[in-house]
Amino acid sequence: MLNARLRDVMAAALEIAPERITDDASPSTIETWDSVQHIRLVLALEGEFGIRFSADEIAELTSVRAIEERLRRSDGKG
Amino acid sequence: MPTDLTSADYFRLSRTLQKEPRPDLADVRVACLGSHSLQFVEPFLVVEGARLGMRITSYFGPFGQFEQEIGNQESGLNRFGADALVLWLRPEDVDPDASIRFHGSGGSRFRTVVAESIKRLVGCAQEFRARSKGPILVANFSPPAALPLGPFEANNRDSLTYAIWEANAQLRDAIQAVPGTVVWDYANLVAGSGRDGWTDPRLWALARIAVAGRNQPSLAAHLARTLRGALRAPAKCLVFDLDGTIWGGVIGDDGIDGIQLGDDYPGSAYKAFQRYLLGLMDRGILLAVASKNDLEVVRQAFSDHPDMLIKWTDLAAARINWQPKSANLREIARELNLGADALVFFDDNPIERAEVRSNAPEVQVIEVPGDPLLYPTTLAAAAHFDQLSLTEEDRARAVMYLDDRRRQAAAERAASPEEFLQGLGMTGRVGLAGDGTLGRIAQLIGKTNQFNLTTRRHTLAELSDMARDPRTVVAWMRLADRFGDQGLIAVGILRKDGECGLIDSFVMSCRVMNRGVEQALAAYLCEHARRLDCHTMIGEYIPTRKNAIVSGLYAALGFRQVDDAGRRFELDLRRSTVAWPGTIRREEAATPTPAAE
Repeated sequence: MLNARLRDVMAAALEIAPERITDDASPSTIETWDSVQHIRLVLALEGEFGIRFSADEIAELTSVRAIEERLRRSDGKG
Repeated sequence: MPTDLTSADYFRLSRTLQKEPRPDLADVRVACLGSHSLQFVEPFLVVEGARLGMRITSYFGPFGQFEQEIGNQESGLNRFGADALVLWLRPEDVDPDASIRFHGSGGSRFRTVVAESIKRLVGCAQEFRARSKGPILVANFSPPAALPLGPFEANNRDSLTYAIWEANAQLRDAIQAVPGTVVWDYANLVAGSGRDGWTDPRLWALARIAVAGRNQPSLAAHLARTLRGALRAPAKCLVFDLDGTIWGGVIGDDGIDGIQLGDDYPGSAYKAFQRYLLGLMDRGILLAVASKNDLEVVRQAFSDHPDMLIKWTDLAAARINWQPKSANLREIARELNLGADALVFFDDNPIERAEVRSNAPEVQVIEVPGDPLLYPTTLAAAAHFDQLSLTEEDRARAVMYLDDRRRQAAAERAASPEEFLQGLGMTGRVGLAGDGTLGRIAQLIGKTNQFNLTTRRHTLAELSDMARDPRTVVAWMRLADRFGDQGLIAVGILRKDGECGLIDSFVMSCRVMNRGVEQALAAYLCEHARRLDCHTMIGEYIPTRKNAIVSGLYAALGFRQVDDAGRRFELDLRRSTVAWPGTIRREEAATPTPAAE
């Protein structure tokens, strides 16, 4: 189940309606998800969830599934 | 001032602001060109611009393309149609080795890159200026976080640090060649926020973004504030409260010995604030008081309290009574010949602030924090008094208002208005606009609301063009008398149109009303019109909400009204003219040499 907080942050950063953030959304399904918006999205996620991604992670977090996975991992670490 | 909004908050707010109609905000179209990717700033700029009264629409050119964007008619920048241009070039983007391997060439490579960069920036500014009158903001240079000599940069005269300081001074001097071009003080922004962590290596590596996420809001706020300062005239007068504002406690209850004001805390907080206010006065901002108190008690505090830094005579106006503050603010504005929107109100009491906000909404009200230690920084963070450059008149203004009070006393003593004018011993100096006077002329044209016949707001760039045009006369007048120098106080612009001399603009500082200055300036303009072979002088009056006082000016100067609306007046120069008044001794300045193209 997609976290409502994550959905809101993604919608704000990608400038789209929250309903469009589905489990399988990615830059290929969301046209505003370009390289500029991707950086905005990553910074917004860091601010919202209090985490810091490595440069490699930033480059790889290009789908809702990958982002959820990554957030779950840092949750587990406490 | 950025607050604790998250990035996501900025994105949401920015979207809302872009969609909503906001008639309270001034539309500003800004084009930004950089040596690195600038797009990131957009949502932050929209939100921070709105806080300062601007609805900002922005365009960002592809990074590294300055000349292409400016020079090509079909470029994104030229199709966008900008009101303002931001140029942000970092020498390290042009040549990374020049700063990181600074000592490899003894700094000469860096100096070359800087000299070429400044030349490029000035070239771009010139080209933009040829098409647009809007302000141009040029970012200055900031040292990188990692300095080649670590903590010993400042010990070495040949370090990168000194080279950058010198480069910034050169940049400042070079852009003076293009009127209306301003330094965007990026170096002090970065220093103020802290160079460590200013950039985020991940953002640079992945997206060529030179500013870390957490600094993006303050960057946008600083840019928006600079832009606002380049577009808007500053407020002129700070009106402050007394109890709880410039001293602690309540003078009516606690008495002179009981208020908090001195060298120990908490009195020291108030003393420091008084010192800050006097610093504002030094740069030309008028100080005035609106306080609910008994006048006698307050006068005694001003004269007898040993730690009172502000003197009664430093005040341009004071209203110490039990009237609502909004009414007192309006009276102060009237007394100082200012619009209420030129006043900024500082009061520790939220109830008084709310009363002023609802009953005198034009007055700009500062949100004052509870802790007096924060008063100076609160005022410094507010943009109201931001001013691009200080003119001689600004620095002298506070003194001039005090001279005015003495003039007022002399007027009351004189038996007749004529005797008063004779007794002033006035000297009027007239001349044509040149490099030394254009700044003050632009300021007077930009901010005079009352004694302004046409309210045409010519920018510095436009005035500079007019001053060079042989068919246009940009004339100024200074006034001095035995009480002091009043500076450059009137401007008239005459345009030759066939056999007619059209008075495009006629503005005067209200401080010198009823002294004959308007007659003297009109006489000077008539002489120039005759020299340009004009047969008829044409004066226009364009009414606004504020300039009713000059509706009868041309009739009083002997012009004939030629329309029913009372907006157009003529004077036949072949039969008559306006005579220079006998009460003002005349001096004429040498004609300035035209500024270089």
